Amino acid sequence: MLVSPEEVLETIRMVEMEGLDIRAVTMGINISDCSDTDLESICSKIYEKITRVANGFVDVVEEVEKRYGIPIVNKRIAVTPISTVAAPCHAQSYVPIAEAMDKAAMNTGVDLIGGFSALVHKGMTRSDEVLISSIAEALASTERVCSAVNVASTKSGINMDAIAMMGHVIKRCAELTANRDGIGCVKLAVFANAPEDNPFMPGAFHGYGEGECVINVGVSGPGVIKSVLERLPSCADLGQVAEAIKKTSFKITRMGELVGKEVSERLGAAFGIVDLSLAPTPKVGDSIAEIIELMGIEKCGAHGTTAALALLVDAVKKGGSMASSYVGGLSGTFIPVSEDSGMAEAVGAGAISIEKLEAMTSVCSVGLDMIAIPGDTPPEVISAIIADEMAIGVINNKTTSVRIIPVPGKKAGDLAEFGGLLGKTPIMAVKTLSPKSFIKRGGRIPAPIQSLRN
Amino acid sequence: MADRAIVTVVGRNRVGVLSEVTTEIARMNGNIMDISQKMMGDFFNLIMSVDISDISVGFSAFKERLEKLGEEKGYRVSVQHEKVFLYMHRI
Repeated sequence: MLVSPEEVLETIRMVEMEGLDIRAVTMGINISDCSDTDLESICSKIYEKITRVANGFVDVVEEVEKRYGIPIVNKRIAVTPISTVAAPCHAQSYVPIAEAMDKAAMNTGVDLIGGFSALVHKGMTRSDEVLISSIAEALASTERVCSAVNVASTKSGINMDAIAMMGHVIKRCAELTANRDGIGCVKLAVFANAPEDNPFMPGAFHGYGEGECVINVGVSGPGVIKSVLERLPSCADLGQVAEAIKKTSFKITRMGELVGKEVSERLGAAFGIVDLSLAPTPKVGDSIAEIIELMGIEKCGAHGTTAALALLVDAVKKGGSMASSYVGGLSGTFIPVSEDSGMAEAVGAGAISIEKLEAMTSVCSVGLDMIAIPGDTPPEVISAIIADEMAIGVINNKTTSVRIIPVPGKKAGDLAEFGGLLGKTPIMAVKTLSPKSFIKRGGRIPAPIQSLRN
Repeated sequence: MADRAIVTVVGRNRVGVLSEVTTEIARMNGNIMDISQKMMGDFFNLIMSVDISDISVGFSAFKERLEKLGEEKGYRVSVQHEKVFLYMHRI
């Protein structure tokens, strides 16, 4: 046998007992050629192209899943940012486009479709403004559509006008889905330095530098890492901990490489990247917080958490980057509060605050994710939370983002429940001191000196 | 390089398991290249490397029939293409 029995059993154990899976296979589709001066034509062209290009996508992914025995949890589509595609039509609202995207997603059998997005890190076009003002209604009236707005980049600085708008958009999103704890907001993220090939939602869109059709894969294995750490002796030093994580991350990422190559070959699409991010689920044992705690921190959020997370993310990157020919997307570690049962528990126990989560985002990817805050949080406070997170991303030349839910009618300490993989979390308190005048000033925070790299 | 599947069988030990599984594989024209068996208490862990380049059915059917056999006879059969193990454990 080319592999040993021990290796076979190890792989099987990772899948069956430790939760190894492929978190997402995302097909990126260029729809810039669906542009038109007539809104209805844009909608029908988008529907036609997506359903044509993604025909058979879900079937192929399911075949590959059976062939290799690795569960592939989500199949998704990401399209060219709609604000560009829709620009020539001069419509006042792009909600019909979101509806067309939603229908196409249902027809092809994918669970989410991203790209109802705009890149406004330097400035906003008229079309970008229409897109942004359509987001709340679009997300409330569709099931599978996701939206991302890139409001900052290291090269361009921070668009504070866009951030001021997004505070209001997030509030409106929550209001329109008030009967479901503001669930509209879980399909919206605000980014700094958004990658063009992120396979995860809601940030996924098909970047302008991409080709016609690409397959990007997101792997996941917090449970696998946790099991490896459980088997380490308690006297193992942090170098040994990092080594164990690195080796395991290699194995996890290799699964993404295999699946990505196979799916793209069968579909005749380009293979994009493997995103080696560790993405937790609410399932017990599949938690980033638990990994932090296994490293020796009493509860995630205590002092030492940021250092432990820095070790984890770096080890994941080192192991993962050897495993794949193309690594990209976010490639870090997610700390989504409601989607990580350990994280939500830490919030409930008072061990972790928004401020600590913000500190943690300086060493890991994604940013402030799936955080529920009081429903009466003013929009300028939400904008200021976003501005803080964007500053971390811009100054440190990394991706950061905010996916935050002001839960209508609920206050700090109440429980917000989003259901399924989205999980549940106690609502976190935010500071009530006002940043209103700061946000009202608007304008653009200039790009930092780090942007001058030539 | 031959197309190979790894068939793993786990269950409570009894006479005839190996014969049942190998007979079904032979029925589909699978050629068994390597077998390893380990006992853990009352349970057996059987791992086979099967050349499937000339099987008379598709991969899905090959997999489904063996897994169904296991369900009927009281043991767990998994069938995975060898590539998944090679990818994980080799650079």
